[in-house]
Amino acid sequence: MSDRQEDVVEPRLEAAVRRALDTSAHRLPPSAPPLATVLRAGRRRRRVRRAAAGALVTAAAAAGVAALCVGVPLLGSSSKGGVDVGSASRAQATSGASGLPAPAHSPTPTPSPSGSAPGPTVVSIGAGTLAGIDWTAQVSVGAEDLCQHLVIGGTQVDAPAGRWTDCVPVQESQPDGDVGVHTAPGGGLRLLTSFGADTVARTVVTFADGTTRQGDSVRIPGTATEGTVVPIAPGQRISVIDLYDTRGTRVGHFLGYA
Amino acid sequence: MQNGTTAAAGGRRGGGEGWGDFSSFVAARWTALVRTAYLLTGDFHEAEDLVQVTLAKVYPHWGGLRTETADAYVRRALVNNNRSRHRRRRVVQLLMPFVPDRPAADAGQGGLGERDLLVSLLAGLPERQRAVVVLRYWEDLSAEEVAELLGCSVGTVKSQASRALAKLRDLPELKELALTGLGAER
Repeated sequence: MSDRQEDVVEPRLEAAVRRALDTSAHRLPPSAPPLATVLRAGRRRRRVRRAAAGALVTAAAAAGVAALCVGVPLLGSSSKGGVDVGSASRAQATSGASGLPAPAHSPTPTPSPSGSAPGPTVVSIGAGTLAGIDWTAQVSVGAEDLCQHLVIGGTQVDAPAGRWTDCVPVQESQPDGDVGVHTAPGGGLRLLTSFGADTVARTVVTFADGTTRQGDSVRIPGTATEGTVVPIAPGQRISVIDLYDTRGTRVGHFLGYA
Repeated sequence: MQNGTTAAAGGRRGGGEGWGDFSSFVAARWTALVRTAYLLTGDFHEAEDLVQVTLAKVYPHWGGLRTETADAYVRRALVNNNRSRHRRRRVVQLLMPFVPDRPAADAGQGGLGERDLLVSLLAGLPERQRAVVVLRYWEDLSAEEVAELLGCSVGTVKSQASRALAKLRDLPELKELALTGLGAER
C-alpha cells in the first residue's frame, strides 16, 4: 500500500475500527446486573475501610501521645533548599553521641480492632505538617489487598479515581515502583505516594525550582512492598520523581506529575 | 498509579447510604460497562467479573461522588482495575507457562461461540494500547480525555493509538472495511 493510499485510508481505518468495536461489543448477550452481589461486596469493602480508619485514628492518637511524652518530633522526609520540612516516611533519628543516623526502625503494625477474624494491619508510612497543613499517610494490609489511607488537612483523600480506587493486590508491587499524587479538595498541599518492590529505598522529588525533597521507604509488613510518602507544598511543581534502591541506583523515573 | 484527585465539594450525591442512586446506576450502566470491559479483557466472563469488582470498589466512595462525574469515575476505575487484573494475570502466566487454552467456555454464551477476530487482536495488544483503542474508538473520548484518564500525555495517547492502529490495520476485515469505505460511518 502506498503512503498516499495509507493517508487516505487512515481516517477510514479509524472509522472501521469504531464500527468493528461496536459490532464486537454488541455481540454480547445482555445480562442482568448482579446488584445484590455487588452491594454485598461493596458493603464488605466499606466495613474493611471503616475498620482500617478506626485503627488509623487509634494509631494516630497513640502516636500523638507518644510524641508528646517523648518530646521528639517525627522526622523522615528531608528538604534541600525546599520550602518547608514535613515529617514523613521512615523516622530518621540521629544518635546523640556519634551523630550517625540510627538504624531505621521497623514500622509498628496496628491490628484492626476486629473480632476473631484477622483484620487488616495498619501501618503509618508518614505524618507531619507542611505549610501549616497536617497530613497523614497510612497503609492497611489485608489478606489480599493493600490499601492506602491519606488525610490532608483533616480530609480523607484516598485517590478515588486513580489506580488506588481503593486498594491493589498485595502481591502487585512493581520493581520500578508506582507513584500517585493526591490532592485534597481545593488544592493546596499534595501527597505523593510511591509503592515499589522491597528494593526501593527512597523516593526523591525534584521540583521545578530545582529543589528536592525525599522520603525514605517503609516496609509494608507481610508484603514485599515498600511505601513512601512525600508531601508537596502548595504551589510546588513537580519536575521529576526518581526512585532509588538501597545501593543508590535509580530504579524508577517518572515525569509528567506537575 | 494514576494521579488521583478527590472529588470537589459541592454537587455531591445526597447523604445517607445512596443505595438507591447506586442501584439505579448499576442497573442503567451495567451492560455498557460490561461491553467496555469485554473489549478491554477480551473475555466475557472476565469482563463481568471486572465490572463487578470495580463497582464493589466504587461503592464505598459513592456517597462522595458528584453526579455529573460518576460515570467517568467508574470508567476510570474500570480501566485501572483492568490494569491490575492484567498484571495479576501476567504473574500467573509466568508461573504457569503452559496453561491450557480455555475450553470452549463461550459455547453457552450464544453468539460468542466464535471469538471474534478483532477482540482477539485487541487482546494481543499491550495493555495501554488496548485501553487507548477502546477509550478512543469505542467510548469516543477525546485524546485529552483519554490522557487524563490514563494519567499520561496527549502525545502518548496519540502515539499509542497510532501503533495500535498499525497493528489492527493488518486485520483483513478492517483492511477491507477501510478500503471500501464501509466503515466511514459508525
